[in-house]
Amino acid sequence: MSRERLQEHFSALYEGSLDAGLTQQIQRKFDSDPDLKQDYEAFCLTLDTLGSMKDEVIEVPSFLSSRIADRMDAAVSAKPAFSLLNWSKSLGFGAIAVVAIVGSVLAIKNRGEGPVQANMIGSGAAATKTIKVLDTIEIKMQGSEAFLSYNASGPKTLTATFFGTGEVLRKVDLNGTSARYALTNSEPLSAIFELDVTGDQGDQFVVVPGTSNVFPLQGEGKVADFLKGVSAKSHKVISVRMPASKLESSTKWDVKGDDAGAMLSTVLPSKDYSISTAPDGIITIESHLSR
Amino acid sequence: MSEYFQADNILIEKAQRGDRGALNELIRKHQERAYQYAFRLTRNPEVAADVVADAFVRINNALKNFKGNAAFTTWLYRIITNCYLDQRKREKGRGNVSLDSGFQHEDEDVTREIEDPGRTPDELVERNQREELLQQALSQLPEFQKSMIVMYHAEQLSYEEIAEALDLPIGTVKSRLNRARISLREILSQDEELFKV
Repeated sequence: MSRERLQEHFSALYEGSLDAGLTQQIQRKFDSDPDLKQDYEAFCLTLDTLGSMKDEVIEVPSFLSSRIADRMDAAVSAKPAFSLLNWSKSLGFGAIAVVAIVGSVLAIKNRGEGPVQANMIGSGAAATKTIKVLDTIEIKMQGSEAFLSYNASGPKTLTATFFGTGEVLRKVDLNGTSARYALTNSEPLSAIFELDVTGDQGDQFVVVPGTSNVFPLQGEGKVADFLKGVSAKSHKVISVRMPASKLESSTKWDVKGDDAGAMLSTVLPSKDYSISTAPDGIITIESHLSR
Repeated sequence: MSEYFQADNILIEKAQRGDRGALNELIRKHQERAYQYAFRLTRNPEVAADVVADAFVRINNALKNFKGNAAFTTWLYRIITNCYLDQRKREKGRGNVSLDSGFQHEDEDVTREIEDPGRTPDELVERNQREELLQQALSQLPEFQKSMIVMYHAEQLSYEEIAEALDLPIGTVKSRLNRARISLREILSQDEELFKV
């Protein structure tokens, strides 16, 4: 058997999957051909080194999710059809819980090629089955996902940032168009992001639960921490309209159960806040000072 | 704490019916693994992220045709490999390199150029040197060989899974992987000290 033919069996020999006869034949060849044996030993060393590849720790960059989302958005917007797709962005900032805010400025055209979902948002003359609420940030649930919608009556810039870090998640110019974003948080901890639209008064935030429901029923911290804890415990999305300074203020809590409304009421008194729960489960907190 | 995901087949069925949440979940579930594979191929975070993003766009476009005959992860590996080959093709601006075009360059002479990493015995331990040299050697392999090496040795796919992902007979996978390893050994044997016994 030629040297090349013998080399074809190196992997099987190394893995011990070569049949006994061929193994013996090669071993005999090794005895008579030290170069071939050395060749095989170098091959084994290479495979041993290849075995270390699996141990390499590869850090996934924080921009991966947004890269995927942007590429998805671009692919969708390149299509003339009315498919409405929003993609999750999960941006990592160390131990900070992350919220994904995803979406695209939509111009959905009903070309009569299929059903238009009742809650799709159109722009301009595009078809829509819902009544547009203009210039108001709306947070709604659809299935298990929360969505942010905004219908601009004119030139507006919608900016979403992480509360606390100020990291801009998304900034989009709307010129009489509509935007719709999925709000997801794939991290363990709840997260808050701040929504800002040019010309709008007041501070608006959304608390999105993560995958963990851990929350100490007794504790102290910032109001923001309390809201994140309630969101985690109840796994509810909380829409908040209150001054940012209030979110940063300190508070204490001693709550029971996992009813979000009840927990919130114990810390946010009714004289200062309105707390309501929408049929889709989203909780809204509005500070009387925010108006 | 880990996020809990639904099974792939359930997510795919939902996504095929237009459930965006399910598609999002499918992406979240697999994006890390996808990135790790892409990074091992490209060794560049930006390029790897582009490859993964392209792969998920292709998956979304083709999802309605996914029959579930193979595991989703196998399909994902196939698409990422294709995206990687396309990316390399664009980068090199040369002829057709695609998964469907069969095994490219298997008889091509591998350029045996290993940069002197400027190492001294004090700077790196021998193992680290070997791994560094291994990465350099891998970068010299034809893309398709490199994909197979990475799938088997880093991603720890079985021969069967690689065969499924690359749509090749298992015997072909084994023989081509053997050839890829021998090519690698030949490149590495240039380093007398570390890779010659």
